[in-house]
Amino acid sequence: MTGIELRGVEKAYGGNQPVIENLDLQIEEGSFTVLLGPSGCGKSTILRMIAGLEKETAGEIFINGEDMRGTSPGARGIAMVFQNYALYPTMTVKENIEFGLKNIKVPKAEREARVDEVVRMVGLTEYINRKPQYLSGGQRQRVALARAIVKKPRVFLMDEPLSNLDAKLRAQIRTDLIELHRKLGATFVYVTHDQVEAMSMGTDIVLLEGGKIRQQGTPQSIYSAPRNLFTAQFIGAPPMNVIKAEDLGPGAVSIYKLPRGTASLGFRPEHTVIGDGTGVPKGVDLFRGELVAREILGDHAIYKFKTDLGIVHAKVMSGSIVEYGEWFVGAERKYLYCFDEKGDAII
Amino acid sequence: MRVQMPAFRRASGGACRTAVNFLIFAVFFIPFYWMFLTAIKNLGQTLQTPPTFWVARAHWENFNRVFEAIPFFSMLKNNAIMTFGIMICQFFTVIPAAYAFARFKFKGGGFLFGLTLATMMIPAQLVFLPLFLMFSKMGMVNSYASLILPWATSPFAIFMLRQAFKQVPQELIEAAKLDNANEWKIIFKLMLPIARPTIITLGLITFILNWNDYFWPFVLTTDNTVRTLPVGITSLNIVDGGVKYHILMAGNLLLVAPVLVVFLFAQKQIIKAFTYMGGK
Repeated sequence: MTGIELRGVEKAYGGNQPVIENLDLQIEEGSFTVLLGPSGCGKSTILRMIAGLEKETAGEIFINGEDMRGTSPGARGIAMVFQNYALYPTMTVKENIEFGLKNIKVPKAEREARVDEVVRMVGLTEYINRKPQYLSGGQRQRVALARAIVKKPRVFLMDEPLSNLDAKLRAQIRTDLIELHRKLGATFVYVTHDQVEAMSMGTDIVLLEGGKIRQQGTPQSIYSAPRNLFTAQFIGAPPMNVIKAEDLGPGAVSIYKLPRGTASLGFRPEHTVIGDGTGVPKGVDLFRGELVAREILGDHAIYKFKTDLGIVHAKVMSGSIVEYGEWFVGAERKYLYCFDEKGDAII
Repeated sequence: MRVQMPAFRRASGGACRTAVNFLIFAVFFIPFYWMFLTAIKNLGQTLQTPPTFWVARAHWENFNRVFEAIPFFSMLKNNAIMTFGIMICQFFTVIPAAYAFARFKFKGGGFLFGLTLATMMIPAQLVFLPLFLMFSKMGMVNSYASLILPWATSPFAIFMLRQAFKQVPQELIEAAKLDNANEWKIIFKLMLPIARPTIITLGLITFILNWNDYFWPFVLTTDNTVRTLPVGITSLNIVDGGVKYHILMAGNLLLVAPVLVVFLFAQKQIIKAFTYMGGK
């Protein structure tokens, strides 16, 4: 039994061109699935259709095998955490959390116990009688989470819940969410445009562009085996270096013995080799580049080279710091990714 | 010098601010003080030139004279029935209308809202005669209904409350839907509490406007049994042998006292309503 399934889903606003067309998506039960993509790719729309806040123009949505057509948002067994928390401003923390339980008439004793447990879980015991406006951003976020958890839903939907927090808090709540997912064992569907959030938390990533799934898989498979240029360049920081095959010179594909049909080549900054032009290691192709920027980040450093073939980034984990000036950069053959004219990977 | 300059400036700035504050205070306070003072003077003192700003002995009997001159308590009761009747009616007409205009998209919604706003531009002088004729044809002159019904709704209040409802983020309503709240729960547990400062302010405006309204009750009533306090107080003005300012002012004081009391209690909410509108 799959957790959530979308079959041939389409969404159009008014009479406009559909933003999502014929989308098939499977979200496994108990997974932490991240819908990742640039803004406008339709990821929030997908989430809102799963929640029932937005009606699909065509197609079917199943949650735990049940057709959700005509099922109201409240009856879908889901809970949602919003980007701006969406806490009820006139209610206290406790009232916010128990509102959903009161509406389905959970007996008072059970309600109190559940609220109490959740409040302790997210560490809000002291703030139970405060109104949201007197809480910090992180605390509000935790109230929003508590409000979702207390309903014991089968599915948690989260719409960029960390985007309003500062970097430090974001990192902390990221690990909190991973812990929470493991503890609850529920299905998490998480929308973000931040590939770091997707890679760090997701057990399954769905990469979207223009309303279409470009690749779905584990973070590891999406990172190591991108099926197209879009995936290759969206995942990883800095993004994959891409060089056009024609820039290597006429007949480069046969000279360098690249797979037939190769239009562009990619290699990850982690695999960039930096040399001074002497003692080129075997199997490495180097070309001239000038170091134009460097970021020393303690445990690793990121270098930006300007070459005749375009910008090349290098991410070096250790070793001596590279000085500004002329260098040779390149990559080992085994780390090269080849893409055809359409941007699809050649394997 | 450098150190002294800001200190001097601060002192002069402070003095300036105090002066302005005092001026504003005086502008608002002096009329009330004058009303109170006149209400406890006797006729001779009210006509004295130069006027006195203090009286040694208060003439509280002026208030008794008001009670003797007009059926004060019956008029007070009428005033209360009219004002609260209007407020209750508006509560039931304004909130649903504002909510519908703010939240639902329906055919002709824009047109109806425009029509509602357009009624604000029709001057009262234009409609009072047809309205009077209408009520008299229906035999409703000299009844509470004729005092209440013309003001049973308020386009201004609908407009203001619609704005307040519109300011509630869509996310909040969606969160409530996910929390299994039906439309009624959304209205009563979410929207109305959020719009509370606006509703209280609108209620207060309605209260003051209708409590002090003179024109309409004067036109619609010919009989003291349904006449309201402003009409009664004004009739104190028209007495033989000159205007008795002290009695008029005693009546006025009794008329505005409830408004002042209500304002004192609602002050915090009003400030909240206006900061909500501006700040967020």
